[in-house]
Amino acid sequence: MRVRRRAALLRLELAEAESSLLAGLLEDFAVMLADPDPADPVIRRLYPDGYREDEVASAEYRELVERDLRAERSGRLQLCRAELPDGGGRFSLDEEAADRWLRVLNDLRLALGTRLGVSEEDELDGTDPAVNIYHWLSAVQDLLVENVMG
Amino acid sequence: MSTPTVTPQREAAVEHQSDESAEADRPWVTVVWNDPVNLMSYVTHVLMKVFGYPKDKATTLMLDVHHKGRAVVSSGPRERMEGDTATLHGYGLWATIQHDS
Repeated sequence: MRVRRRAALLRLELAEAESSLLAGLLEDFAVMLADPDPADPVIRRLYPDGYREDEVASAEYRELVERDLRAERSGRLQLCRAELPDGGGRFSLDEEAADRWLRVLNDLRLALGTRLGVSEEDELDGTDPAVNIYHWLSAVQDLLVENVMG
Repeated sequence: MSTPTVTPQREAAVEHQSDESAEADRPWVTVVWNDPVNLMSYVTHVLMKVFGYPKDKATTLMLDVHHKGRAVVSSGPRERMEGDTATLHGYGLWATIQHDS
């Protein structure tokens, strides 16, 4: 993937394989978000407790915010999927779109990272294709955020 | 890590209240916790974006999260902390609300 900064926009160029990989990841993630299992560690990571050691306050917080957070998360996912050039190619991002892509990439990494059991200490298994996808997503997000931050 | 200061006016106001409401007035804070997935660059960006912190302050807070395991990123009334926490959750950060210690 290449990123070039032009005026107030970022222009991204994705190879066909990159676009197709991202499309698959976004689609799978959308399926999971459509029917979230509250016991799923990925869902618990995406919607953490608002309070540590206070179940009542956490329940109230969750009641207050989770519905909106879920709708916003799904909305961002849909927009990114729609924007992705099928077969690869270039597309431009304004600040809002770049922020949205950063969040969506982060969500994908949280989901995959939770599944893989990513920790601070242990190295991941480099022969596992999922691990390589995780590292690729990390590089993409890092490249994008560096360009956004300036 | 910086903590909120109590202004002289606020100190005087608190002194006139009962113990009960003084307890309720104890400031609340939003804490961001370290996690192994979030990129340092991304956490810095989010702190800049959400709180309008300049890059060096956002970086310092991010490094506190990274090295000390946690950092207080905002303080104020409970409702505002819940709003901040929800915003941070929308960015995929692990954040919680608590009383200032």
